[in-house]
Order: sequence, then structure tokens, then C-alpha cells
Amino acid sequence: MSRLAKYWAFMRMGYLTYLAYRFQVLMSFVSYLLIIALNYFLWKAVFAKHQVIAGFTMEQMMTYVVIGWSARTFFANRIDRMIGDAVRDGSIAMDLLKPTNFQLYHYFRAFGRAVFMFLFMTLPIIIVASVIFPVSLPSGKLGPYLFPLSVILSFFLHAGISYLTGLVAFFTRNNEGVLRFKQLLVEVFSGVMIPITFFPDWVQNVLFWLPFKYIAYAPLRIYLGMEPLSKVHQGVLLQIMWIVIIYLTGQIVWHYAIKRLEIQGG
Amino acid sequence: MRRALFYINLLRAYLSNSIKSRLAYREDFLSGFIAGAMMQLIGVLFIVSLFVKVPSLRGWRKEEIFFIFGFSQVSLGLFFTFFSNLLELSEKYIIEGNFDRILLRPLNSYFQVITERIYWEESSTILVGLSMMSYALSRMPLNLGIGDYLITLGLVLAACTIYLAIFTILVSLTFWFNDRGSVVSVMLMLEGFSRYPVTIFNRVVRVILTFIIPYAFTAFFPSMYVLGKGRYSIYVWMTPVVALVFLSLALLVWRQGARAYESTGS
Repeated sequence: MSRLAKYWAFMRMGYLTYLAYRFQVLMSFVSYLLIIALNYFLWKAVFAKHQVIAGFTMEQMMTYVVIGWSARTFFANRIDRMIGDAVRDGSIAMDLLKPTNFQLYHYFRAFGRAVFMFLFMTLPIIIVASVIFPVSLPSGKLGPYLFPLSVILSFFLHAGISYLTGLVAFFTRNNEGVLRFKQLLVEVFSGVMIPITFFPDWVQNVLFWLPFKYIAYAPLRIYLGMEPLSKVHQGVLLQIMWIVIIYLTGQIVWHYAIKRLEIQGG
Repeated sequence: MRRALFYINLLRAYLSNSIKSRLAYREDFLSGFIAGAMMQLIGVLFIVSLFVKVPSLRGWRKEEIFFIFGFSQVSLGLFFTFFSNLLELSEKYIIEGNFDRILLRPLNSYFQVITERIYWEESSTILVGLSMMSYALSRMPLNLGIGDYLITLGLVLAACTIYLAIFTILVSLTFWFNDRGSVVSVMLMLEGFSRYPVTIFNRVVRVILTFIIPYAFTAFFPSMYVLGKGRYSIYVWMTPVVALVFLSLALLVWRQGARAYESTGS
């Protein structure tokens, strides 16, 4: 089998798995609409007395919230949990038998899920939410073209972070705390929850050196046309840089992780 | 009377068992506790960063919002700690057929499902909520007496009862309709609305939260005992009434559901 066909098969598997959970997906869709609604009321209250807060107008903020939470359904993944579960129940042995790069296997399987989510969550949410809430189209010259690219990069960046987190399961039996800590970092510092311009300056300075804000904050700024051209290019390049760094780190850590693995039972 | 004593004795036995079994796996408890605390921290960090840039929300000061937020977390945390097992009804009891075992014993089925597992690690939510409430109280010149604290405690218990009632009704539906907890997750998402003053929402949402899904009574209205300065006092005293009415309704639905239960067994 050619390499490409192999990863296509993993993608298909990831996609098909979710077809079985239609009702859950529908409920998840409702949940996302509820989060967006809550954010809508909150931000409306926040902007009641202000024109611009932390560099955002009310209109930009609403778009930020809707597009941000919708994009989250696309770039979210369960890689960390899947690796943890596989190590715990021993099914990792089956994964290891596959003549493939373990990291890419997880990336592409998750990408299949992301494609499913894009069709049945991201798009429907954007459509329904833009009917109910004030959402603007991508602005600037590059927004409409570079935003989709940037969100696809977000997926691979987040997949890498989850993969690294998942590998922790090889070193400790109880990885729940680590998984949650990663979730905390991503939720808070990716910018989905609140734009990072709301944080104190020193936090923003620290975030400059970390990959998290390139998951959501950077692409959303591109969507809103809030960055000059040079910064847009820089943002996308930094996303690619982080994807490569994290991928390579994953390869190195894997090298050590696999030596720690002991599968129980028989 | 003897029946009540019998149940109290049982409860004592169940609780001491549950503490013992939890102490046997201290590492799991600690990891679960930290994991839970980190999830709570996401919401807290959101509200903290919001108030870095915004002095007030539709006239509500930071301290007041923190108090309401904390109140909702304490009552939700109590629900999670002592009643979480209810949320497992569909998966653990109905689909896996464990409800047969429950019905075989000459004990109330609701009592059994609740007490079979206490989630001590969920007390992290209570702790986070209490910290927010005490922070808020320390920053407001309120002059509360011991009686006020006792009444607040009573209101917290009433609020927890409302959560219990809402989720009992929801999970009871799974006696009739097969669902692996996705409706529950929507309701947990909606719980986010209870952390904020209902005055930030529009009329429709306010009516829903007050009269249909009474989340306004799980934090905002009872908080007005301390914060209201006489406003909403009728709603404050309605809180225990709402709790009792919904709990009676919930018990009714549960009883009907348990009757309708058909074993999956073979």
C-alpha cells in the first residue's frame, strides 16, 4: 500500500467512527450554540458602556466568539485521551503492529474526525449562529484566503500538543492531571475563551514564546483583518515553525517512551 | 420512623465504606481532585481576565459577580460530590444492566444509585467556589452575622437540591429513551448561565432560567440574600420552595421511570 493510501485509510476511519454518534453530535451542536449564546450576552453586557476593549469592538468580539468556538470544533482532538486509554488497556500493542509512524497515524486519524466535525459541526454552527448573532464576514485582503489555511495549521499544531501530552501515559500510570493541565493551557491561552489582549502585559509577553496563541488567537486575528500583511505572514510562518518543532519533539520523546512500555496481561 | 433510622444507618455504612475505598487509592483521589480544580480554574481565569479590563457588568461589581459565581460552584460541587453517580444511570445501570441488581434489594432504588459511589474528588469544585465567595466577602463591607451565614448555608443546600432535581428528571428520561448522557452534557453547558446575574440576559432567557429550567435559583437569586440590599427578596425566599417542588417532581418521574424499566439482560 502506498504511504498516502495508508493515511487516507486512517482518515476515513476517524471520519466513520463519528457517523455512529449522530445524536451525540447533535447534542454537542446544541451545547456549542449555548456557549456562544452565553458569550453573546456576556460580551453585550461588557460592551454596554465601552466602545473598544482590549483592542476589540463589540462587532469584532461577536465575530471572534462565533468563529472561534466554531473553529474549535474543527481543531479539537482526542489524541491525548486515545493514547492514554490505549496504553492503559493494552490495545496499544495493536497500534504498534501497524507498519506506520505512530505520530502520523494519530494526526491523520484525528484529521478524519476533524473533517467530519467540519461538515457536521463547524459549518452548521457558523450558519445557524450567524443567523441569530451579529457575525461579520472575513475582512481584509487576505482574511478569506489565509484564514482557512491558518485553521488547518491550527489543527496540526493542536494535534501535536495533544500527542505530546498523550505520550505522558507511557511514563506515568495516572495521567488525568496532565491531560487536564494541557486542556487548561489550551482553553485559556489559545484565545478561544477570551482574546489574549485581555491578559496583563507580562502574560502576553510569556505567551509570545509559547505555541498556544497560534491555535486560535492568531487565525482569528487574520479572519478579522486586525493584523497588517507582514504580521499575517509572520503568524502563519510561526504556526508552521511550531508544528515542525512539536512534531520533531514528538519523534524524540517517542523514542524514549517506547522503551518504557510494558504491556500487561496475556 | 424505624424506616428512617434504618436508612440513616445504611447511609453511615455507605459513607464510611466510600471513604475507606477512596483512601485506598489516594493517588487517584489526588489526581482527580487536581484535575477537577484545573477545570474549575478555566472558568475562574475567564472571569478574572475579563475584570482586568472591565470595571463592572451591567452595574454588577467584580466582587458581586465573584460571589454569584462562587455560590453556583459550591452548590454544583456539592451536587457533583454526593450525587454524581446519578449521571451514570444510563451507561452503568441501564445499558450494562446493573439496575437489575438494584431492584433485587429491598431498598429504595434512588437511594441505592446515589449512595453506591460518592465522588470525593469533585469536592475541588466546592473548594474553588468557597474561595471565590470568601474573596468576594472579604472585599465587600457587608457586616454579616452568624445567622446570615447559616441562612446562606441553607440557601446553598436548596440550590444543590435544585441541581439534584433537574438532573434526576433528565437521567430518569433514560429509563424510556436510550441516550448515553449527551442530554446531560447539554444541561451542564446550560449551567454556565447560572454563574451570572440573570439581568444580563434578554427576557426570553430570563423567563426560561426562572420558571422552566430554574438555574436562576441555583446561584443568582439566593445570592441576593447577601448582595441584594432588599432587591429580589421574594425570589430569595422562593429558592427553598422551588427546590422542594422540583425535587418532588423529580422523585415522581424517577418512580415512574423505574417502573417502566425493562432489563437488557439475557
